[in-house]
Amino acid sequence: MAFFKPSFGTDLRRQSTAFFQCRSLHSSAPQFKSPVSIVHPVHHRVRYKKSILHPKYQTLLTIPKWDPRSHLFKPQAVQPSRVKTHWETTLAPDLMLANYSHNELKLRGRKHQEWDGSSPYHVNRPLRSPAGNAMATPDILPRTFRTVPFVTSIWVNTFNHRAVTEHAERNIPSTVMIQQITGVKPAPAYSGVSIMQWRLRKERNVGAVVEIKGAKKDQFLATLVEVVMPRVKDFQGIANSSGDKFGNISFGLDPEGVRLFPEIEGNPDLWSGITGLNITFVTTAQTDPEARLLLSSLGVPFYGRERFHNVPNLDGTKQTRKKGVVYYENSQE
Amino acid sequence: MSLHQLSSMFWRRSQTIISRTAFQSAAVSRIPQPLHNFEVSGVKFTHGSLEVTRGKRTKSGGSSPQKIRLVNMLSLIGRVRKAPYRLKLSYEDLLRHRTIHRAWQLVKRQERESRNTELMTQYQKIQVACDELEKASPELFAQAMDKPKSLRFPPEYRIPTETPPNVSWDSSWKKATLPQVK
Amino acid sequence: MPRLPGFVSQASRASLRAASTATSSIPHSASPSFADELDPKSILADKDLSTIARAIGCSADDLTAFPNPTVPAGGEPLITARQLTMPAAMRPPFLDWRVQMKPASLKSKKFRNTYLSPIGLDGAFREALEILGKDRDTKYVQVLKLQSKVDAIKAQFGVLETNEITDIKARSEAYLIEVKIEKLRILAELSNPEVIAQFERGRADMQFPVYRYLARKKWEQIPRAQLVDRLENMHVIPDTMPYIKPTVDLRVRFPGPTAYWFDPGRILSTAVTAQVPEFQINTFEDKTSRYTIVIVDPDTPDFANDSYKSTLHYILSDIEIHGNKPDVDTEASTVVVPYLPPHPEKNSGIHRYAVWLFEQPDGERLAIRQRGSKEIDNSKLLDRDEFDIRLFRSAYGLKAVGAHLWRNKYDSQTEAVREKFGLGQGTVWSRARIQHY
Repeated sequence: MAFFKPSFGTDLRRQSTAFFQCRSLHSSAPQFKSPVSIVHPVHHRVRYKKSILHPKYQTLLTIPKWDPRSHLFKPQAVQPSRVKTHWETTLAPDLMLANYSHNELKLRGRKHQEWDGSSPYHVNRPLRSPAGNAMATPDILPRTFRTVPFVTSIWVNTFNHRAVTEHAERNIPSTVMIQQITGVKPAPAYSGVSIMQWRLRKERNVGAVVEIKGAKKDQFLATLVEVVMPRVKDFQGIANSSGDKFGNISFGLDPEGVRLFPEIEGNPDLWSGITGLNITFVTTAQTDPEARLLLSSLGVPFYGRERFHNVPNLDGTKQTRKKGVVYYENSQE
Repeated sequence: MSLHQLSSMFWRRSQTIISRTAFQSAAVSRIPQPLHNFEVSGVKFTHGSLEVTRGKRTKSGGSSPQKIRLVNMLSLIGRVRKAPYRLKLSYEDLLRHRTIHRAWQLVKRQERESRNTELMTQYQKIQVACDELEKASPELFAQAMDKPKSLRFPPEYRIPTETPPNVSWDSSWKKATLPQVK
Repeated sequence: MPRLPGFVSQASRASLRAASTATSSIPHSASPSFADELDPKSILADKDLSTIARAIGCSADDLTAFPNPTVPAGGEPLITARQLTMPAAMRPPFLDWRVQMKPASLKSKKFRNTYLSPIGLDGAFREALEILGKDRDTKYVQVLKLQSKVDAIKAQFGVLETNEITDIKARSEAYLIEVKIEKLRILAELSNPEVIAQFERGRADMQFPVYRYLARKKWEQIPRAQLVDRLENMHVIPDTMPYIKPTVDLRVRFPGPTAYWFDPGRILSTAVTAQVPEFQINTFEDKTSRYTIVIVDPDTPDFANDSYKSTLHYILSDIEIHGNKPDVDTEASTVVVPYLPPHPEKNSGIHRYAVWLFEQPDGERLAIRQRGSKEIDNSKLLDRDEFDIRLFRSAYGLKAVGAHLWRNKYDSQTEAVREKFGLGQGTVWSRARIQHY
């Protein structure tokens, strides 16, 4: 009978530092260890990906992205970008000047608050909501040459109601449509809610979604602004009330508008059930008005009364200054 | 296999792939196959374990044109042969490629840095000018700092094109007004 | 004669000139050349400028036309050619589109003849070399400026080495500049295709910072991760030392006809491990320091305490390692505790033999360092049977910089090893039921 020793590296459940400080020789020692599940401590100070140690993945993981042998290789700079060049040469200085305000300070956003510790139950309790039951907001940094807004990406998604009421295969044309328009591979979109009147159930594949970045984003933006928008019937622009308060602007395009994309317009007979699009411009602007200014510089029209949520001095909140930072008056700590 | 199952299968697969832009190069050591090897009908095509025979007559009279169109559309969003064959380069050419890549990165970085420096200089000049104005005339400074609530670029503002416009000068131009909703 | 692009610009020419006018022959790497007539060794040994010019592909006048940035007007060179650049790396002969029409790396004649380079690659490569060469030159000019700063500081204190500067502030300033210089010298050469080619063919010269940098990166990518993973999984940490962040590559092998640098954690035969192991220490730094190697077995059964204890197997100290010579010379070092071959007792399981590499403080010889007023019982420091590696480390003021590991168990050769080295009969462990009343 083999001498039974606590096996190393096999039974993680029973291992702890205490275990190694008093390893026992006798064979039934492991049975007296605490049976609780613990996170095994790490003693070295090196960061590495565990998968790189697997011989199967070593070739894959050690080839850099720029190498044509890599599966991630993608040819760079295959086309110049009109929109990007325009932003870099003209818009960035203009926007910097337009958003400039002198000696601006950082505006600290509304943050979750610590409990005061008056009760023992405060330990591990989730943080208190921001003062005034407001939404937590990020800080607004001074507008400098480092915080000139630009469009980072555009999200396009479509919802096909016929995929719900008729058959899931109705989703295929709208998916292909979105791929043809944007040039990016779409991902399936699933319903998040059940709506009985629409016969819609939760987690059904009811559309497609795409995030456009880089040169394709610029291409899409230019097409939208120069080809599609001017020809949409009775198109006034994007509502000035649109936006998520943090510099991301959304609007919808109805099926008639979608038909004006050159990819669809070229062969309209091919497309049977055209669906509308929801388009969101994701920008680095810190507030919605700044994002609208940016989009208007790229030729996007806006209409209607403007909304100033989360805009300092315009949204009705009062602020106080303290040590080079501006605070909302009711959230001062 | 129903079309519904077929489409869900394509979805599953499309989750896992990394699509690559097709690019041209004379250096492919194998002649690249066409990306989509379909014909309209009468051709058996295979996706993994699935076999669909198109154009085959069934009792109900075969697939409808709508269905065939759907299958063709599915082939567009499927993952099969989206990426071109991997470029096979000799060691020397790989090194050349690496060198070119690094030079390209260097050029881009230098461009970016010079642009940022220029922007920074402009910003500093704005600051200095504002300070001077504040010292010289506080009233003018207050007026200069008074920004309009809603700021927009003019609606005629366009992204420049590389070619000149068809109409070089529009003499009947008048300032556009966007419809306002009350 | 047409000129080769890039890497033959001002600084390179200057360094070539400096190299050619130097009185002693410049040590440089054994740099291979695809074309014999372009062998950099012969080029640099030759002091005739025209030969060099011919090798690079420009006229001798071109070399002399540019002012040499390394030599200030009427003064000694601030920096030698060795420090400035790599002789072998200043031109890419085998990447030259004119010298090599077909890639030499393709071994098969058929492949070589049918292979087609991508269209436009050569032109782009030429342009890339020019861009990178310019960048490289600006970096070396920066190096020269910084070097002159360091030299000024050294001259102010009248010393030759940075660590001899007496003023702490000035020393740290000089040290920071030197770090910056090292970084610049790495960056200057990192885009050089010749450097990468030399490195990937295993012909790196560790005297140059860029090769040390590449070697370190290569080691950090897989071997270091593997080592740390095994140390953690096999619980060498914290069973012997509490933690580690390896900065030095320690490699171990046992001599013999099939000697090889084994992966950490391998189970070896006791016959193999009966010999004194050989070591290699790659520091990836251009410095000389002293190291101590300790081999410990933390799995020796301790029946009296119902536990395990550590057995000391080997202490080799005062190992002097120069940056570019990794081999450990046992004879030049001090054997503090001679090697005891592993001889696990029967049924005592698999024993881990942890090899720890410590750096000796300030490059001095191994000596006990008293800390504070606390007395250390020195009599038990080197006790083979009850060795405490943590106590040993703190008593000698050492710093753990590397580790390795192998494993042994009782096998068919263990008895022979015991007999050969006179280790006596070992205990045979077996289970016994104890009655509890």
